Amino acid sequence: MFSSTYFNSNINDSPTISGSRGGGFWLMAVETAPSNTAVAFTALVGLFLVAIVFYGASRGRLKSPWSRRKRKHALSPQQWRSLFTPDGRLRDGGVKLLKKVRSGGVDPGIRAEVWPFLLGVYDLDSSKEERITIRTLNRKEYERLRRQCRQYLKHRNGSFRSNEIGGVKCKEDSSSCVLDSGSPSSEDVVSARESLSSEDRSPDVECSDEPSSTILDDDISRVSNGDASTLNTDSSDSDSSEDPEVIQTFPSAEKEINDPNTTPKEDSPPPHIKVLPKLPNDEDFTTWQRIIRLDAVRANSEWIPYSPAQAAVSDCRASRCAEAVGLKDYNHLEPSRIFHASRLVAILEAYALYDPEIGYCQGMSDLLSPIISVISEDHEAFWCFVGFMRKARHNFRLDEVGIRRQLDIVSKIIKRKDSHLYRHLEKLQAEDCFFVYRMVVVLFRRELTFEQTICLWEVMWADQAAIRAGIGKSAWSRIRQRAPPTDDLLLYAIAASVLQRRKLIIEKYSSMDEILRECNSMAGQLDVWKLLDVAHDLVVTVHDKIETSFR
Amino acid sequence: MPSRRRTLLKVIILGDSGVGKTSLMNQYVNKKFSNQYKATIGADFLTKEVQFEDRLFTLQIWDTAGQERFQSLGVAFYRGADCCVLVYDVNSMKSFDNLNNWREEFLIQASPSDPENFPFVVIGNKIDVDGGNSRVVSEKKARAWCASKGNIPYFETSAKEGINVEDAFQCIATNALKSGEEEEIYLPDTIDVANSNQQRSTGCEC
Repeated sequence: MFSSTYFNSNINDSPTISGSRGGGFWLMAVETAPSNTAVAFTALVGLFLVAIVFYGASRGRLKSPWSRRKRKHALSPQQWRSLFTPDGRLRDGGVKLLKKVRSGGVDPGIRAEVWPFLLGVYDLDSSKEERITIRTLNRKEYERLRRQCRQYLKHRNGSFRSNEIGGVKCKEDSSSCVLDSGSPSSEDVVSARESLSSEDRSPDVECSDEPSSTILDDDISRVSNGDASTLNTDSSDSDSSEDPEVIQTFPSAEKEINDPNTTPKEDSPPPHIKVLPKLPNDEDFTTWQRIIRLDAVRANSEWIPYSPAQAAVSDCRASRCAEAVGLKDYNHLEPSRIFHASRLVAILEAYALYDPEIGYCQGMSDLLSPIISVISEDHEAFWCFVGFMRKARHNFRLDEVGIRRQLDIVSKIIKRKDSHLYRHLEKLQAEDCFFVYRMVVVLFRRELTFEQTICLWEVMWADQAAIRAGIGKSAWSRIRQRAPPTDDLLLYAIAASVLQRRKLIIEKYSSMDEILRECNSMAGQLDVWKLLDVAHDLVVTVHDKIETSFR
Repeated sequence: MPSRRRTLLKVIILGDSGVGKTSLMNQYVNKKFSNQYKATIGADFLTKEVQFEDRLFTLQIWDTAGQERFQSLGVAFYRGADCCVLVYDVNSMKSFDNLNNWREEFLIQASPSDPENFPFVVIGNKIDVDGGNSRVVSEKKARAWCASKGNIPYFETSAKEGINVEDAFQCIATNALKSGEEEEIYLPDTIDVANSNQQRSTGCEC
């Protein structure tokens, strides 16, 4: 009876997440036989989790696309190409693509091409031509955001401009001067770059705006242009030097360097930090800029084996990128990591301007790092990140609504699936599932390896893309057995990781601290496909009941 | 003496992003330093056994995220703390200025029974940087602030070089223990209620 009341009250408060799909049915089901269902769940859980491990493949009605027998290979380059019509449109509105990605992920060689579709940068039913247009618009928008970022940075450093004598400019903290070639001031970027720029065709100062420079260019075009006839590739276009807008703004930027009092041109915001929204907790763009840089230089190097072209970046180019974004304190880093850190800074700053409600919150660099490792163009990586953040941004909302909702869903999944475990958590005052906080916020990035994370995210993105494209439950179930796509696959996977440890938690742990410890040290111990298999099972059994109680 | 012995001492480390909270904790517990600790998300803790006057305690040290966006989530971590360590970077005035916010925030979130006398310890970290040349917060200034907040014990450390870290945590443990004993007067099987004002005298004034 308890569950019946519970669900009623929640349904009245809040509409469902993705339409009322199945909500009515489940409400009825729950109302007619609530306690039986709960008891049955409880009784089955122990046996069930054992069964998942040993008999996952033969479980009849609960087969998931990730069970060992059913597991598919990743989407291959050949398959990917065969999905397109001659005018570069996905054949069936992307259903086949999503199905394939959902069951096996994406071959590393074509990730850079597939991700913009998964992340909604391009519509699943877009033509190649439409994508080229969008890509150009997106690139310009990104460049505009970057110019704005540079204005802010200049303004920030500008207040120390009085130290400037005869072309020697000191950094904000005045601890190091331009003469220290390791960390020249950001204002010098333009001139510094000019002296180095014989190889650069792009007029802009940012890393991504130099696709034609040195090592990276060749490798990247080889990787990303696997099949020019079917893909949205336009590497020739990616050389942004034709962009007249960028060229136009340059003189103004340069003028400002010589004369800090110059009023910026109309498309740039006034370089006053205070035009940005003042946040309740006193964070502002300057704070974000500082923390972004702090986090960027301490990003780890796990991506390096997966991104050989970027890992082989030249010393000179890495330093140039660092200068361009005003990175400091990076002298202890290898060129590849300096380069990576610089790209993180550029894109995260642009994002903070693009989405000032969220700005920058620690953890976001964890989410961006895999994206820039796969996607070599900053502007493309930026828009993929925007797509990723469309859902993930809620984790970082200042009003805490997002993170609370997510923890709440994990809690409800566990409650539904394993009331014994849930009661134990209640006893420890841990039923709020605070112990999975980190997993939720950075989407398993800290617990999984680089490759595992990407696999999980691809599967999750495919689910979210299916929902965005309105590929409903019926269409989906035909191609995907029983589990409906869910926006919250990750939360089911997180709940699965906790349920996998139920015995340990119930028998050994007597405080929330210990569970948190266990969760924070899952790194290296998770099998992502097994996790997805259990998650799938959870979606099948509790999805509709959980979702009807939110939003 | 209280009849019920405490064995767990809970310590919370707070301070701005990048001041070295994780590094301090790891230097103390594992005697290791890395400049590659990733940003702490949420919170994590390490434990260390400490001996104090023939009694063995587990010091549970909670490392927290420096960008505390989710104020009310802090409650989950702060609850039951026996001592709070406020860390700033001697090379960053902002991180020093924020100590006051961190202190107040902690008192609101943790709502200790006796906020006036709750034990804090302040650590000025990164004294090794640039041989001390980039330092912007003087020891005098830091001590003055500590004095104004009820004589908070103050330490200057280098988590990187392991300077003064042991001493600082010795003091932290001592204060946590005193704070714990103070709380014990509320336990039903405790007899001793006479030590209510000795606790703030901080044996490790430095």
